[in-house]
Amino acid sequence: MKMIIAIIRDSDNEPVSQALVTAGFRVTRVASTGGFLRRGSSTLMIGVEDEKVEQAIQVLRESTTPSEDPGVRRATLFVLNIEHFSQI
Amino acid sequence: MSASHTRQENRSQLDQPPNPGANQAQGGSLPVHLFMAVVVQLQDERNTARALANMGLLVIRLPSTGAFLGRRNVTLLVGLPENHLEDAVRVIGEQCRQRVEYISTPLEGAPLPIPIATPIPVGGATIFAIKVDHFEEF
Repeated sequence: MKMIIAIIRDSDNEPVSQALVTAGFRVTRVASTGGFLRRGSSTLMIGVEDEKVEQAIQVLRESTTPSEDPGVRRATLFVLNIEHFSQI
Repeated sequence: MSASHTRQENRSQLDQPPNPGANQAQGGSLPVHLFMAVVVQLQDERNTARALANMGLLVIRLPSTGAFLGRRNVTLLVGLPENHLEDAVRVIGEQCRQRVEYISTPLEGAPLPIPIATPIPVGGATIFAIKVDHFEEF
């Protein structure tokens, strides 16, 4: 099990969350700031099976809107290894 | 790059306003090895986030709440390149050192509200560092 922590722009939150949920991923959203010049951002926590990490990243890549400014990043991803995962 | 060199660089940068350019120039080029969640008190958040951003690190703020007193605090998510952990922990320690501050509270039993200084401990930080399996920006 892995956890993807994805920091995306606020404006991308809705389409990205929708796309991930449609693809069968479970997403928890946390409002955050910073990273993108202190603008509002959204932090998504996504729990995925090891073999689905690539697929999740692909969904993120496709659902974030390309920015006009090439210097501004659309998303920052941390993939962390999860020792134990359970849903009760 | 020697450790003492970075140290001096960081000192001189602490008092300067945040520089978003530095953030992208340095943090963007180095691969991130550690993911750090730092819980700091609200009053230390500004300086801590600024000091870390000046190190060229990626910093994200999450507003959070402590469970014991229900006080608001801030969780900073930080991406750390290799060999930056010690420096980051030292910078956080400098900004969030535990200290005693005084607040004025009314003296109990007095007929008039006479304010007296009451010492309260403030500051401190909780740091979690987690290995990053994979880091990506696009």
